[in-house]
Amino acid sequence: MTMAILSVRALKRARTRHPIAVFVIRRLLALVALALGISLVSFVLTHLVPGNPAVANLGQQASNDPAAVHAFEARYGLDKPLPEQYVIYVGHLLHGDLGVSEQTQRPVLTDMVSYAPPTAELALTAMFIAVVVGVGLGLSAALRHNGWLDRTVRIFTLVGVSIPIFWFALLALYIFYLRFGILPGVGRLAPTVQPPPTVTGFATIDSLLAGQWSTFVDAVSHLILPAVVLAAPVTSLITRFARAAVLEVLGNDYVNAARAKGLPTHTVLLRHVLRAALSSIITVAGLALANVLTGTVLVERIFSWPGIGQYAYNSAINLDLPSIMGATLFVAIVYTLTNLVVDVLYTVIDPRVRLA
Amino acid sequence: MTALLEVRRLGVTARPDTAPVTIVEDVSFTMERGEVLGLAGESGSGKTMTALALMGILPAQSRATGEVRFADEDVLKLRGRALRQIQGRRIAMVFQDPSSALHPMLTIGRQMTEHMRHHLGIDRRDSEQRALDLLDQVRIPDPKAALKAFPHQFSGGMRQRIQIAIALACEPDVLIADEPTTALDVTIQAGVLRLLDGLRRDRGLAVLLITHDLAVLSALADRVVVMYAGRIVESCAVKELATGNRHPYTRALLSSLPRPDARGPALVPIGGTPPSPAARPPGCAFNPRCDFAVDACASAVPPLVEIGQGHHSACPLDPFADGGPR
Repeated sequence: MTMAILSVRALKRARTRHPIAVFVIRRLLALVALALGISLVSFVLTHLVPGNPAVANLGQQASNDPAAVHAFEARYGLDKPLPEQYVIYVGHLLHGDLGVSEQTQRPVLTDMVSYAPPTAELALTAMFIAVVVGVGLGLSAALRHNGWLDRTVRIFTLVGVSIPIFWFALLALYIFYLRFGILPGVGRLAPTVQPPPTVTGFATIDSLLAGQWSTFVDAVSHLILPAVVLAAPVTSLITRFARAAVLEVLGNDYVNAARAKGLPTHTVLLRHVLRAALSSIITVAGLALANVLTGTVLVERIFSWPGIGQYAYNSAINLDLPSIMGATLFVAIVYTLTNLVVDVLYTVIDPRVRLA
Repeated sequence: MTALLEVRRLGVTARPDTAPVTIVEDVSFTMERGEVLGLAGESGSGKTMTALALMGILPAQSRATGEVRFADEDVLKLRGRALRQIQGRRIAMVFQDPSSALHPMLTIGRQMTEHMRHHLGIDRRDSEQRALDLLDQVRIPDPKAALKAFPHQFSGGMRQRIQIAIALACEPDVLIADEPTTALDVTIQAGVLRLLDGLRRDRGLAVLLITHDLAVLSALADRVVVMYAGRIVESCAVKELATGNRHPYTRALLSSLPRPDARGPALVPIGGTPPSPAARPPGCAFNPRCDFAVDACASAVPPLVEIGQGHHSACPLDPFADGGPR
């Protein structure tokens, strides 16, 4: 009893002293429950998909042999009832075991570890491009509200959110690779280039760490096209939101007050205007990341980028259930963590926001 | 002696290129060192736009014409660095709405010191010391804690006083105060007015006091300029305002004031509403609401003419010549 009271008190004290830490811990605990929920939903969904994993994996010849099919199903536990399969899966999951990929014959976790860095490199580059260009364009458009720049930007963002990403990817490949040969077409590094020793798993950073300048240049040139293609729709999204947010901020007297102080224009824009618009921009950037993660499936496929997106694609067409589950869980957890980061950033940006 | 600030035929037009709307027209006045000039009028009469034009911070889609002479320069023609050396440094402004005039995400300390450091070239410690003194002057309790706090942690009255402290930080020559006391309790109002009065006397601060509250004006101002629909309709010394006013609009504005002595007629509201800038009536803009209007009032804009020592009126009728219907 006393213990309970003490711990309640301790919790209250921790809350007032380290509100953000307590908030993060609580959300991380919730994340575990959430991950279980996600695993259940994706488990049921993947098993509802018509198609027989044994047939998809064994090939025509072997799948005509009942013994082979039975052996395959027994090996992956597919002969057991679905609830039992799920319980077994979760039991393994809690031990950090995501199962073995039917495609690569490696543990799914090992696959994740090797495929995640290329995706992270691609997605982060795309996000960086999208945020920098989007905020810059949104701010410029808002400052020239209804001027020619604003109108031009509006047309471009409309095109950006409307173009299907696969079509844009093919167009970009055609122009920059096939037609003019300015940029390499597919892959992460040219086949002739020796990959740098793996430290972070990012080809660009690892090549810099190894001091291999030419490898770095090659990695960057391979990164540009897929990153720009991936960034295009979310750049438009961020531009529109940033423009709207800045317009709303500009109507406030505190912007006039900052100008009336005679502060340099960049101070007024960065410290006063953008600062106030940042909450909205971060909200949309969080959404944009989800968009980018979905986009990686198509973009990695088209650009032969060895990441989670391509892994998920291959798993899906082969009905490689453990891998599909692994990729789904991975993306879901990344997305949830992004939301957590966004929520924490709110409180850092805006002193009026309180953590609940 | 040349005036500290001289406004000559100031005009403000919104969207001059596409759908021009005249917001302020032909506004001229001067301000001397240590003088408090009241700028009175209903909402929408162009007071705030006049102030923004003087400050050089009109909204992007409006343009000012005429001249604002200050320190041998025309503020309206200044751009960039030359303009910024006047803004906040020599002419400062207090905004009307204290809930939106302070940046919600920056500390009071940051907002008080950023322009001091920029204009006066002093370091963080000196600027913070000065900020503490200023907060103390405007009677903010516990200035030290206030520097680290954010605007939402203060009441409206305190925010307004913080705004005044920010405006005074670089010791400007001219303070433009847009309804500085409207959001305040009467007791705090008196404190703010006393503070401004003291600064004017001790430091020769010139104050352009924008308000629709004629009681505040008569307490502090030396002269009054009354605006209606973007134009000056009457300007006179404040002591002539109550007894010697000539323009029906000024009279109407005075009659709509509550009088604590409770003698005389009850409050008389002004019938109708001020015209929108896009649809101002021809001739004298007040004529549709004026009790004394004659046909001629609707045909031409009556000029502002001198009718006595330092007293101008834009009403040619003089309807109160015989003492008038009070």
